[in-house]
Amino acid sequence: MKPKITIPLVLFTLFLLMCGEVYLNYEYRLKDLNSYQNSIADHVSDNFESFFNTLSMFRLTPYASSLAKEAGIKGFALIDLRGDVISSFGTLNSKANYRYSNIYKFVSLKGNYISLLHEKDDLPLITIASKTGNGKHMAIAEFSPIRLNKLKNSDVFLVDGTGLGVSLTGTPVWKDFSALIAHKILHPFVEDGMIVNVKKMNFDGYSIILEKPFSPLLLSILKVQLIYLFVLFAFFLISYGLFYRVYGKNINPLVKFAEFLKELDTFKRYEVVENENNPAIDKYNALVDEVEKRSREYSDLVEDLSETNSELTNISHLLVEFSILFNDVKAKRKDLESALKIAFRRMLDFSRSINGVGMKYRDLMIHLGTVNEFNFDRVFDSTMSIELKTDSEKVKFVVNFDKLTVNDRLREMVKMLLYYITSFISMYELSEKSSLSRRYDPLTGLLTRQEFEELAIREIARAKRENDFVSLIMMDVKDMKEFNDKYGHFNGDVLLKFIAKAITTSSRITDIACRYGEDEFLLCLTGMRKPDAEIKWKTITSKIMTFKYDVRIKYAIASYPSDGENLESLLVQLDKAIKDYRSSNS
Amino acid sequence: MRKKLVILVITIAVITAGSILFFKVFNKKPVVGILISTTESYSGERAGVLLALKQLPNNVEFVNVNYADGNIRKALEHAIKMGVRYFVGLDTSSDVEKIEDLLSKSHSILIESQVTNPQVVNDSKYVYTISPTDDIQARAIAAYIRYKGYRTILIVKSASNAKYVNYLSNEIVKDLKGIETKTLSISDISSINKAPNALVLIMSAQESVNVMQKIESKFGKIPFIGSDWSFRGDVLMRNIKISEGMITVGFVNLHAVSSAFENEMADINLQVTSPAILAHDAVIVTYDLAKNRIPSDRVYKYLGSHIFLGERGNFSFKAKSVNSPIYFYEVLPLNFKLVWTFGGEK
Repeated sequence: MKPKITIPLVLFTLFLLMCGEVYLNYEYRLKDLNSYQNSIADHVSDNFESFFNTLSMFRLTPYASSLAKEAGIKGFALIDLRGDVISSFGTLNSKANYRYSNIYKFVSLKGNYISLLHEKDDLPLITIASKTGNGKHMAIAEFSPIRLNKLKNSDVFLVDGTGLGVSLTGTPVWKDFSALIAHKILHPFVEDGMIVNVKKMNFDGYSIILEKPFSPLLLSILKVQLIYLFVLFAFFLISYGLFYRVYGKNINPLVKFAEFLKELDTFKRYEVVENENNPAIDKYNALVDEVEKRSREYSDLVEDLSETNSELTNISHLLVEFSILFNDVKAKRKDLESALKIAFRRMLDFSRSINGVGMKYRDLMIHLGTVNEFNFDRVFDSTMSIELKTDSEKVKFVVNFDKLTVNDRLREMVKMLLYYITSFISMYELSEKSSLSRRYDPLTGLLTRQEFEELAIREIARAKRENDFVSLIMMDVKDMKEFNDKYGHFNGDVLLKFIAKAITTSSRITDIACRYGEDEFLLCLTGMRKPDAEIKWKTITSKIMTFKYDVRIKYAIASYPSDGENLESLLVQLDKAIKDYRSSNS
Repeated sequence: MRKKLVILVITIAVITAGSILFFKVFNKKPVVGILISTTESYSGERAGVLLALKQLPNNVEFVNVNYADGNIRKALEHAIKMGVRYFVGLDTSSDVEKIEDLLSKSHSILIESQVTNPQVVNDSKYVYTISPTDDIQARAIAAYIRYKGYRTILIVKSASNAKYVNYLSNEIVKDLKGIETKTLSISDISSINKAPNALVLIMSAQESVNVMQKIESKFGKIPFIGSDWSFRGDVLMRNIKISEGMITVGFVNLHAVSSAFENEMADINLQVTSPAILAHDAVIVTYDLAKNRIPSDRVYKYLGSHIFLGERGNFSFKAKSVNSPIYFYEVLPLNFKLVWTFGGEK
C-alpha cells in the first residue's frame, strides 16, 4: 500500500478511535458523577432517616429535648391529638394549634410528614412529623439539611417537590428547578454549558440535582486522550517504518512497476528507488527521456515559428508603412529626410534588439538611438555596417544591435528593410533626374519648349494685365545639316551650346530662353518693344559671330500687342517669317 | 483526485453546518420563562406551575428565570438577551412596575398569576393577569359588606406591598359611600378603641392571624374579611382557633378543582389554594401563546377571543385580566366554605 494513502487512513482511524475513546471516557465520567450523586442522595436520605429515627426515639422518651438538640434539630414540638402543643423548643417554640394544619392532616393520612423547603434566618429548613410510639402524640421537628464539602466545579442542590432547590455545598443558594424536574429527565444532559443530572429520592418528591460545567470536563478528557493518541501514533509510525524496512525491500520492482503502469494517466518517468534497478525500467525511462527531449524540441520549434510569424507580420506592416511614407515623398507631401527619419524611428521600434540606426547619404546624415555622428564609422561587436549603391550614389547604413538578444533572423530582416530603403532612394534619384530633363534641354541647358510655352503664356498674361510689352525673338541656324556634315556632329553640338551661352549671357534674368527645335532658339524679352528687341538681337548675334567656324543665323521678331494678342498668334507669325527666309548674316 | 476529495469534504461540511443551523434556527421551540422569586414563600404557586408543566406537551420549552431579594430586572434582562419573549410570573405589583420598560423594549409578554393592581396591568401593553383586578375585588368586598348590612368598617392594611394595599383600601373606601369607614396601618391597631361591625384585612395570612388575635383579645369575636392576599390555607388552618369564621376572598372555585390536581398537591403535602390554581392557569395561557407564537401586538385580541381550559374550568379574558367571579370563603376547621359569590359571567 502506498504511504500517501496509508497515513491519512491511519490518521482517520486514529481520529475515530479518539472520538470513541472520548465518548467512552465521557460516559465513564458521567457514571462516576452518577455514582457520586447516588452517594449524596444516600447520604441525604440517611440524614432524613436519622431525623425520623430521632422522632421515633421521642416515641419512647417524648420529653427528651436535649436529645433532639444533640441530633441537630433546630426546632421541636410535641402535640397531642387535639393539636395542642405539649412541649416545644427552638424554631417551633410556639403555642399554635396544629389540629387543622397540613402537618396534622398528612401525619393522620400517611403516618408521617415532610414539608417543602423553607427558610428561616437565612437557613434552609425542612419540617418532618410523625406519630409517637404510643399513638397519642405527634412529634414535629425542624432541621436544616446536611451540608457537604464543596466539590470542584460542581454544585449539588436538594430540590423539593415544587422545584425549589437549595445548594448543599458552600453558602446556601436558592434556585428554582421546576422547569427541569417537570420533564422527568432521569439521565444526564447538557444545558447552558452545564451537565445536569436529576436523581429522585424517596421522600415526597425530593430530588438531588447535580450541576457541573461541561467544558472543563471535556478538556480534562481530551488532555488525557491526546497523550494516549500521541503515544499510539508514535507507535504506529515506528511499526510502519520497521515493517517497511523488513518487507518493503523484498517487493519485486517489476510488480511495483506494473502497478505504476496500471495507474498511469500520462507518460512520465518511473522514479526508481534504491535497489529497484531493472533493464525494463531503465529502457522505459530512456524512452520517456527521449520523448521529453523531442517534445521540448518540438515546442521550441513551434515557439520559434510563432515568433517568426509574428515578426513577419510586423515587418509586412512596416513595409506597408514605408511604402505610404515614400509615396508621400514622391508626391512631394514630405521631404526625403523627414521620411527617412520616420522610417528609422519605426525600425527602432520594430524590435527591442535594435538599439540604434544611422545613415549617410550625399550630405545627409541621419542617426537615432545609440548611433551618432561620432561613432558612425566605428564598428563594434554588435554593429552591422553596410554600404549600398543607389542609382547614382552610395548610401551607408549603420545598425547597433543588443548583442544578447539579437539573432540571425532579425539581422536578415533589418538588411531587407535597408535594401528596401535603398531601392526607394534609387527611385527618388531617378524621379529627380527625369524631372530635370523635362524642364531643361540636356545639351544646351536652356528651357525645353514646353517649359518655355508655360512661362511665356504667363508673361503675356501679366503684360496684358499691366499694359506692358513682350517681344519674342526666334533664331534658326541656317544649313545646320551641312554644318554637321562639314565639321562633324560634335562641333554641331558645340555650336548649339555656344549659341545658348550667347543668349543667356546677353539676356536679363527676367528673360526666358529655350531650345525651340533641333536648331531653333526662342527668346522672350519682357517689357521690351520691337525696336529694343532688335538692339538685343544685335548684341546676341555679335557674340555668336565670334564662333570659330562660319555660322549663319535666320531670325524673326514679333511683339505683343502689335503683332499678336497671344503666344500662339505670335509664334505663327514668327514661323511664317522664318520660312520666308528673312535672314540675317553676320 | 485530491481536489475532488477536498471539494467533497467541504461540501459535506457545508451541508452539515447548514443543516445544524437550519435545525437550530428554524426548528427552535418557543421558550417561556418562569419568573419567580426564590426568596418568597410561594410553595402553593410553585406547585401549581409544576403541575401545569407536567401535564403540558413538550413542544414549548420552559426555563426558570430565578431572582432573589426583588432583583427582578437583572434576571429578566438576562432572559430577554437569551431570546425569551414569553413569561409567566408569580410576582407582586411592585415587582412588575420595575420591569415594565424592559418588557416594552423587547415586546415581551408577561402573564401574571397574582398581580391584581389595575394601574400596573393597564399601564403596560405587555402585562396581563390571570386574576380579576383590585377594582373588581374592592367592589366585591364593598358589595359583601352591604349584603351583610355592616354599618361601621375598619380597614387595616399591611406595611409592605404598598402599591397593592393602598390601591385596594382606597377603592374599597370609594365603594363604601354611606358606610362609616376608617383605614389604619397594621402598626396602629393598638389605637382602636371601639369595635367596628367588621374589619377588612389587606395583608398576608400570617399578618391577618396576628391582627385577628390582637383584636379578638380586645373586643372578642368580630367579622373579619381578608383580601385575596390573606388566602393561605396552611397558615389559616394552623391557626384555626383564631381564623375560624374569617371570610377570605378567592379568585377560583376550590370546589370545582379536579381530584387529580388535589391528589398531586397532596403528594407533596400541600392543600389546594387559590394561588396554586391561578399559577397553574397562568402557565396554561402562556403556553398557548408561545405554542402559537402570537406576536405581542396580537396578544390582546387573541386573549379576548379565546376560551381557556384551566384547573378552575373554562375561563376567558376581558380586557387585560380574567373575567371571573370573586368568591368569598368562610374559614372552617379542615376546609373553606363558599358563602358568597360576586360578579363574573355565568
